[in-house]
Amino acid sequence: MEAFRKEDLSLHHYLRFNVLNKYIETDHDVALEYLDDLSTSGSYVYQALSTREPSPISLGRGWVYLDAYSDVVEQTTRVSVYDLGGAAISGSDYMIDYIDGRVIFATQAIIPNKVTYDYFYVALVNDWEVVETSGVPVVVVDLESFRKVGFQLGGGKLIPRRGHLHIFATDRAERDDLIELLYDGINEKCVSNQDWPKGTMLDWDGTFNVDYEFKKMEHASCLHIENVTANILSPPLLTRVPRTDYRMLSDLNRYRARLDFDMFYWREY
Amino acid sequence: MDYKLLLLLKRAIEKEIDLITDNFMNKFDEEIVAYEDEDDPARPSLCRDEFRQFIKETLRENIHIVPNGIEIGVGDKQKLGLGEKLDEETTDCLRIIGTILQGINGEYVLVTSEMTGGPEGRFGGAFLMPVEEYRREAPIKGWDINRPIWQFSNFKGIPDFFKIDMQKIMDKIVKNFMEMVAK
Repeated sequence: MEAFRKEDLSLHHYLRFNVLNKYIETDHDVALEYLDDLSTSGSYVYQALSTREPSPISLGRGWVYLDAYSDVVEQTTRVSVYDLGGAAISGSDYMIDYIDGRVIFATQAIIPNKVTYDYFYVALVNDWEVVETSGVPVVVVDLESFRKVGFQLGGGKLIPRRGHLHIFATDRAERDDLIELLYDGINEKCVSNQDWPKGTMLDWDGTFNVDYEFKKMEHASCLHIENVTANILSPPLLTRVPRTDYRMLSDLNRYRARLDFDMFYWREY
Repeated sequence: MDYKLLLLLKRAIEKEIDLITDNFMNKFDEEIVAYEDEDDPARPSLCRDEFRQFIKETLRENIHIVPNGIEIGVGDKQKLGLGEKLDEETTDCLRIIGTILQGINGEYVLVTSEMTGGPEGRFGGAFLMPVEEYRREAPIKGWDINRPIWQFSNFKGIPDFFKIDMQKIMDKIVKNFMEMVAK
């Protein structure tokens, strides 16, 4: 994994658990449905049937997998599965697919019925094009090109990057809250520059990566964020739609904002 | 700095308004025109002259002497819609460019003043419609149902458009300034 990807992941992780953690919501007593086609002998898969909008498992969301930012072990308080009698099932009896919102049992001796879980209400994505599929509210992290600048004296490098957070909100109040929260969350802050030696917290199948390590980059500073500016956006081609003829056309682009910032760190090699 | 010197510096900058404008127009060509649809009758390159004039005028209006220096501004947020308020007297061209600078997510068709028969000239009337909605409305309105998706749909914008490297320009301005001081 190259430095740019590591920085991007570090910023994502920071935003998720240190800034947007105020937007973690709980979905209570959600029915579980057995998925016959995905189950095999020794692996019995149950899907949570949430009725929430936007869907807790839409792109950039998912169930919460850590109890706190710098934890290295899987959450113990965020997900609870109940059997038909309403009794809690021990966490050691199942695995969780945090991306698709599923619980997986190794035996059919235990029949789960409902699940209560915390999920990320604000979608956090990298790709501009997928915003529509996520559904608002969405925050897009966009780190731009970079240059590595050598110090005039001694070795080492300063690595600056220009970044933007594009905000797509449900309404004006949510947009304003998100701008302020994100602004305060990153302005003049120093984000842990993680090395990700054993990969990210989640494996490819959405389960928790038990090898995950919280390790900072060696011989490198944290990621400093400065020069943050907040802008409310209203693309002018969307503001003069004749409303007598058409319903309001674009909820997606209607309540938008953008934070621009500089992110940099020093490296000794 | 002495006010007379600041006045000279202001004049030295004003002498280079064309050069500063050219820098923005180079960016316009590289980062906007390069991505346009050549067959689009409302393509941004057709707005080039108007945008150049807009840059030049707003530059001229926004060179101000402030305590111990000169402040240079460019563009007009309200005319480009870079903010919550939009100047209602803006033009179609500035609406199109302002929207490109901000970026827009989703697939849209551009409806221009020409198509709606709306007011033209200084009073812009262009707007975007989501493609599905356009296809539904086009037959009723007598618009071309096959009008292509706007090339700048799903375009994430150019947030730093108004940031340019002033180094080369500054060299020229300093030269002008020194000549003026010598006189």
